[in-house]
Amino acid sequence: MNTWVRIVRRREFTVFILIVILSIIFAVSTDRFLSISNISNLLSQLAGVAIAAIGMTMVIITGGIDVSVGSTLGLACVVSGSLLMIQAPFLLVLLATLGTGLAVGLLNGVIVAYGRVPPIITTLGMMNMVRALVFQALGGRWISGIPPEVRTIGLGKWLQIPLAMWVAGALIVVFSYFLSYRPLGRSVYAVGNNPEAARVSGVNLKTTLLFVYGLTGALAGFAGLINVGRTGIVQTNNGMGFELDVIAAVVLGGTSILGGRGTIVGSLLGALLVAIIKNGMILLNIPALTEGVIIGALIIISVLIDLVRGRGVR
Amino acid sequence: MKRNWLVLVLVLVLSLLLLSPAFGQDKYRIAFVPKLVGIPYFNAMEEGGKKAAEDLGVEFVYTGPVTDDVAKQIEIIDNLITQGVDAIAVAPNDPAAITPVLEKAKERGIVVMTSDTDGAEGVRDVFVNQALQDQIGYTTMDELAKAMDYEGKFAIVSCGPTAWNLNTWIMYELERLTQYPDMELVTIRYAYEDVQMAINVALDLINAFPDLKGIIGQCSTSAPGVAEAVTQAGKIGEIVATGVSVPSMMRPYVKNGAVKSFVLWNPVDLGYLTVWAAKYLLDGNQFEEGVEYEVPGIATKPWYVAEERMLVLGPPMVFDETNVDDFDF
Repeated sequence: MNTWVRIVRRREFTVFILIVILSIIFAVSTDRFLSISNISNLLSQLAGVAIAAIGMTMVIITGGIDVSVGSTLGLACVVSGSLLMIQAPFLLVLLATLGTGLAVGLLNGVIVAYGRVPPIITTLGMMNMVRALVFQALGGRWISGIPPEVRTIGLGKWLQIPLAMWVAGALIVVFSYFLSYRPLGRSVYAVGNNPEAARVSGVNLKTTLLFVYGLTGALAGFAGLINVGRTGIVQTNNGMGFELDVIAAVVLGGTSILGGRGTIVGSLLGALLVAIIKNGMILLNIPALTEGVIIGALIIISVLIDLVRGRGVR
Repeated sequence: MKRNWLVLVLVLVLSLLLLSPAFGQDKYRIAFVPKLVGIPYFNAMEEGGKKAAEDLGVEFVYTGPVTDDVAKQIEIIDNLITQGVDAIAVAPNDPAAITPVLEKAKERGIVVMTSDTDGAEGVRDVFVNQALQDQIGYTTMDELAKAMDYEGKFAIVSCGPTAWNLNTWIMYELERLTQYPDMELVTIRYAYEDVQMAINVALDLINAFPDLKGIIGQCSTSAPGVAEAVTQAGKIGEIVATGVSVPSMMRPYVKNGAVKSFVLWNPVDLGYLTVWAAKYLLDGNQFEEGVEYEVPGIATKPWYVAEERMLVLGPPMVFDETNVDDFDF
């Protein structure tokens, strides 16, 4: 099979073509779609999901799932919001936020790797516990009125593109390389394809799992910092449903929910597709309630296309 | 033999006497179930409910779902029925879905009320209404019209698409809109009680309609969201945000000029009135048509509309730069 056929048959390509088609439709229907301010909005809505999807892609490649990222994001919002409120130095805010996410993620990793509790159970439990912690910490009050001067990470732009998207892009490049060419990256696929074979051939299962869950937590934390930067408000329900956006992006982007297959770029495309649909529906003034139907159908159809093509989801 | 009987009767009487204070002192337990916990608006209602409970010598139970989840809310009400509270007031997330569980509560002899948002109209004993729906809708529209200089396009960012009160306000806003022939509603969108989503939606709207002049944030989370979007888009002065929200969230935007005025009532008083009304009914009283009730502890004089079994807190309140600092909810 030559290279072109292989590219065309990938899910990433299908999603990419869908994005192009939709973009053309939206661009023809409304001149606002390709405006700089719209693209900039779209990208800043995309950044958080794209960043958390990096970790989620790896977790799902190992055959796991992490439904606690929304709560982790919420907790990271509380930590970063409180620190930004007292005008703490940005490096401290960044480290504290990443540290919070990392701690939750590593806890997930330890329970999955050492306790051998199924990932969906572990992270479901964690989701509830961390959300309870958020409520405890905020005591039902919101943090509001965080000054714009300290919200550069959410509001800042460079060359008209949101700062958060630049960071997301850099992270995607680094981790894509890592996943394809570094030993630990390859072991993520090995664990997902056949954990027993991976173990026999010298892959450290526990280290790999700790790494992917820890990374996912840290990145969800970072997405929380961006969220606070954008809104200037910390709600108790920050990040509720975020896990579903991230998982949808990853699955749409071609990562097999059974593990072993997937790419970070695919997840970015999945997230972009969802963001473009949401954005386009507002620009075209399509009634709001059809949005869920379209995105939901798209997720199921994209997996069905795989099955019809005989590649299946393994 | 006779003596034994006497002793037995004496013991019985004594033990009943000992037990009776325990029954007598059993305070009414009055529960309020908000649409969701952890947002400033319902926190303010909780504060008022607590204050009323202290003043009136009843026990106040405040519990609700963490998102505006219809099923969770029903589950929580079910649990309250099992616990055997004396009265349940609820701000339903879905006015119809709540009916069966409130019917069940009523069958157990529990006083059933709605507060903040109506629902289960055939079942509930009374609806404690913050302000008449038409007045809130009219006032919101009037404030928007004034801020937009009575002309131009505007959009509405609402929250839950099934929330009865929000939909009713929108209905009255549209009714009032007919008085402003130069204003045009371009779209209604939903942001599901999520500030970030309200910001996203409003930013997209600002892009989609370059000649937009106003945005209504229909609920307490979407109003600050649309105001933040106006601020972020650099459109202060061109686009004006308004809506129904709490002073603590809207204050920064009233100060920066994105919001000129917004509409609400006093949620602390509403929480107080809810508990007061529950106690009033539990004591065996009935509300009467057209009567203005003296409720010590709140600023307004609530009145009763018998046809709809509705107790109205008072007229809606308009907040602007002159009074936004006077409130801490």
